[in-house]
Amino acid sequence: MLATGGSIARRLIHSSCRLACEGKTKEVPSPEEAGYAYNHVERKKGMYKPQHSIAEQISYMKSRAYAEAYKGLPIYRWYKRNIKGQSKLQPPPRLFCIDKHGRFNLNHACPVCRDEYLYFDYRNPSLIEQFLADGTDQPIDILKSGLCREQYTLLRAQLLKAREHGTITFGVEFRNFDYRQWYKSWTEEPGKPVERAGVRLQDIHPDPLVHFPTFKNDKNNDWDQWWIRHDKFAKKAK
Amino acid sequence: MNTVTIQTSMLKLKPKISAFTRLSTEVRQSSQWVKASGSSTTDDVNIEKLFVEKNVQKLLTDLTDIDLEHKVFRPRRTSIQQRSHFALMTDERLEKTRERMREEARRFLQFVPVKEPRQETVQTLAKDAELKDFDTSKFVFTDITFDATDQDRTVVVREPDGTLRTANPEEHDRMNRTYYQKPNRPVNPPPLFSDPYLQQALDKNEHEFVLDWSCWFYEPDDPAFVRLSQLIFDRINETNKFHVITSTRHFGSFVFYLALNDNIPKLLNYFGSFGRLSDCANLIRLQKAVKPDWRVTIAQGDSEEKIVKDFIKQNARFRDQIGDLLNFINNGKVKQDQDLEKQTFGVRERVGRMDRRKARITSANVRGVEGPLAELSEEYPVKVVKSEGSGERDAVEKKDEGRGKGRWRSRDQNSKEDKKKD
Amino acid sequence: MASLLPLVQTRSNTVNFFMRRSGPELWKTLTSVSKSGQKKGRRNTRQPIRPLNRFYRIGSSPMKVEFAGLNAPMRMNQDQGLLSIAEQTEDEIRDSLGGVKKILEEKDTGKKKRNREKLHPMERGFSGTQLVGQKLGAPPPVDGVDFDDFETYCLEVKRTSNMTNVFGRVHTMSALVVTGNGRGLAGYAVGKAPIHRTTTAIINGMGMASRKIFHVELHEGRTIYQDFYAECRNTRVFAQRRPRGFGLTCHPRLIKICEAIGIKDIYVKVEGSTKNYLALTHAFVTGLLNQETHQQLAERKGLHVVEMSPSRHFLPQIVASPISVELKTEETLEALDRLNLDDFYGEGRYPLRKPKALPFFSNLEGHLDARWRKHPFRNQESTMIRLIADNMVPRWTRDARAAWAEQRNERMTTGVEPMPLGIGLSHVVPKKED
Repeated sequence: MLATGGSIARRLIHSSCRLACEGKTKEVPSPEEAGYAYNHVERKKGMYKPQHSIAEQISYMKSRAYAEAYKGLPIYRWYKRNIKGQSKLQPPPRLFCIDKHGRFNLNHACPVCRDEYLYFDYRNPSLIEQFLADGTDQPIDILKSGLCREQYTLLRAQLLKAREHGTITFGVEFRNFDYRQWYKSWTEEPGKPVERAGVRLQDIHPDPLVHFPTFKNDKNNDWDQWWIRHDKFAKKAK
Repeated sequence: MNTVTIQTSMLKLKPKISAFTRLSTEVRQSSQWVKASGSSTTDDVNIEKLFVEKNVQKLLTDLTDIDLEHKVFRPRRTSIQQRSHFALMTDERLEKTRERMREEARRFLQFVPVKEPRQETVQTLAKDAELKDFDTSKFVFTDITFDATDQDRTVVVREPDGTLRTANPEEHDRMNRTYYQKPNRPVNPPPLFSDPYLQQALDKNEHEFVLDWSCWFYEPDDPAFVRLSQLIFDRINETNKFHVITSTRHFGSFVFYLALNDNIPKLLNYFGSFGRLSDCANLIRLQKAVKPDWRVTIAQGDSEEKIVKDFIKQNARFRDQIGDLLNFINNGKVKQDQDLEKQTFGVRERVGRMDRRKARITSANVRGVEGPLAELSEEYPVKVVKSEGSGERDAVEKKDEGRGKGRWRSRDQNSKEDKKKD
Repeated sequence: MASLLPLVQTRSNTVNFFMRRSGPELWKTLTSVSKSGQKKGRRNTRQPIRPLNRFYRIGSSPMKVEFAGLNAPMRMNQDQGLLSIAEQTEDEIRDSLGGVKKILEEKDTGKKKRNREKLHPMERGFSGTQLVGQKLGAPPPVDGVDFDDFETYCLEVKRTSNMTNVFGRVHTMSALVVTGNGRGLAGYAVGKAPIHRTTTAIINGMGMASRKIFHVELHEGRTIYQDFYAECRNTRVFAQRRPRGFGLTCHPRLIKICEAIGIKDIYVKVEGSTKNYLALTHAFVTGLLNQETHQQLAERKGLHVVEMSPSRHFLPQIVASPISVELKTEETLEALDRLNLDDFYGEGRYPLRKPKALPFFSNLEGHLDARWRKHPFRNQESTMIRLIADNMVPRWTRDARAAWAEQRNERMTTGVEPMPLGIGLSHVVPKKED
């Protein structure tokens, strides 16, 4: 009995192993067979993402087709992840929309993957800037942007590159020099070190302590009148 | 050559190695800050000593005006999103706060030290022949004790031939960047500091950004930093974009560099086009202080105008470069150049839409062209009628007449009387 | 005394009952149910009003009669007479024979056909296929004023009931509707309709809301002027001004209200009852309307209103200064005037801020152990970004990384790149061939 059970299990494992191997060795269709996922294609699963140069991307982002598709809003503005229920309880973002061969592995790809012309590149800062929080040099939250993890990583990498190539500027930290360290003849004490965004509002405009009356305090109110009356009537009823 | 970097805590090694110091440059034959093509032949100038001289520092500080709104505290990108705050202030309070901010701005305008490029000398600590060919790579040992600062941290290198030496400054800085990372200070210098990208950034008037970052990234005596800042200064001077660097911390070294190289006429012309005579005079004084054997003589009690006129007289060869200054001196005309203004604000406009609410209505300009009626205000008289609940203390006044109007009238009368007295 | 007005004859025909009454009146005699009948539920079994005009057209008999002015145009020349009779063509006869049947059949087939247009997932409203929370378009024009650029949202549809002595519990549909043009103009109202007439209630509400328009001043055209507190019944609302690009972080119904008004950045905390949407709307709108602009504040207080922006290192910049009032001096100021405006309007009321409770496992030994095991990999993410930024690997897939490693290995084995051998590094052991 035991032996048969074992053999069945072994056979099962063997067959499943074989199935898995078959899945792995399955032929990857060439782009010509599978087709390219152009923007007009509705269902893109299994198709290859077309390759475009950065000049093409920049001219596309200035074109009328782009303006009509996104209406001048950030490209993630009208993207909704395909999830059920509240956005607060959504699962973590998917790892990638385009697999290692360059094919879409689903139909509802993330806002950057789904557009054939779009990919992050430091030479086109306007696309990166759409994903920066307003007035800062930091990318917005991944769940807010709707990107897949891979695109979010590429966003951060290209943001770093754009900073280092000077296409996106930021507030550089202020370096305080102690002149005594650099000049022998200098004897003056350096001033208090300063930094960008290093002050707080209360240093500049301190709030005085103002006494406000307490609101809705739970004193001297007749909140238990109802029960007092209830007792009275209940007694009467008896 | 490949290197293997190792971090160690080497307290024992320390006394052996002379303290790493940046103060060592005393005597030097020719300065890197003086270009060879300069007309004068001053080889023996100590520019570091010159830079920290009291009167030079004072002249540089005077030349750097403080433009709070458009330059020092212009809208910049921050690292976190934060809302702006509002408060109620009297004139007195506002002035006090602004004074505080000006004080703060003075610290933000601290000059970057002007230093000669450091020497690449290293100190050989030991030669162990038995360690020769133990590896094909160098070994770099870095001290990571807690109290070592970036400047005095001990870094030693074991060469493949068995020599143990102190690290040269470049290796030293690189180890600092590797083990003591700071934001925006990557290990390798960013491509922005080299040319195609540098020129692109300068075309967008980002000079201040590049200079700020380079002084954050490099030490001030790094040869690369000296080269980079000279390159940027030269390009500013070539393209006449002085507005990008005025009222920044780099303006001091910029002016100092120009004065050293006898290259001030373009900057003089820039000051002259705004009618800033005292700045022109200060610039000439600076040139004199930097180059005592200069032909122009400045007496102690000379007026500013005389200094400038003397300069123009004695430097006739610059005549075609200082047209605006001559125009100002001779005709008293200030160049109303709107292009220049536009360039000045070009930097800001890209940063944000924060400056929209410029047109502000106050009691002074309600009735004028800047008020809500704009051009119509010339045809129609503007009456200011007191709105409801704008202060109880004026209620008494309100009874006898249309209050706001009455007060305006009286104020106008007062001002007319003042004019008559004059 | 005799009237000066001539005698007005209203009754035109007294001959026939059917000619004296209008169609609806006649139908009413047939279909009406008395009050007591309604109480007993006879309303459900009453006779329906038959749409006779759908099945029978005047004059369309085998002998076609044309009444001038009724089913044929008026003729000016009198000699032809008012009536004319014509023969039907064969086609018309064929059509009229199967006509009634065809009309009835059409009605049957159209019963289950539902043509709901596909909405974008972000416009589908609060729940399912209901209209609540969806965009409903502009309200109809009132007295020649049209609301073309307005957008309407229904916030709530509910069944309310009322006890009457005749019918007992009477149910009514009530819909809370907000309409606004996204540039400061908005209105809200409750529309009512008999039970199950949800759409009627919403339409009634739209009409009412478009008659109760108010205007809200928006700071920079995107957010509120000041943090405010407002309450209605048991609902307390704390609204806060936010920086550009923050978005709407508030109660879902308030999001819709903000969209209608045109507020783009706001944070609102609602305390107390969050499900009384009417009270919520009322509280929020009251708070919005009680705001004052910076100019009004400057007038009221006689002080400069100064903005201190963090992007400018809190450099004070005057936003508004009093026009009709003289500026106060430092001596006459009270402590309240020195407060910054974030604390100025709440009068000491602040929303309750609860720190998020740590999960139960945060201090368990296993969890701490797991965190410690992850500690060596804390810099992996920044390294990944650095490598991609330096063009070392094009994508962070295993294949791309393996290719990069392969390439480096090749360079080292061929001697293009030197390989460190010395202390601290393990020996290079060639892989065994199986």
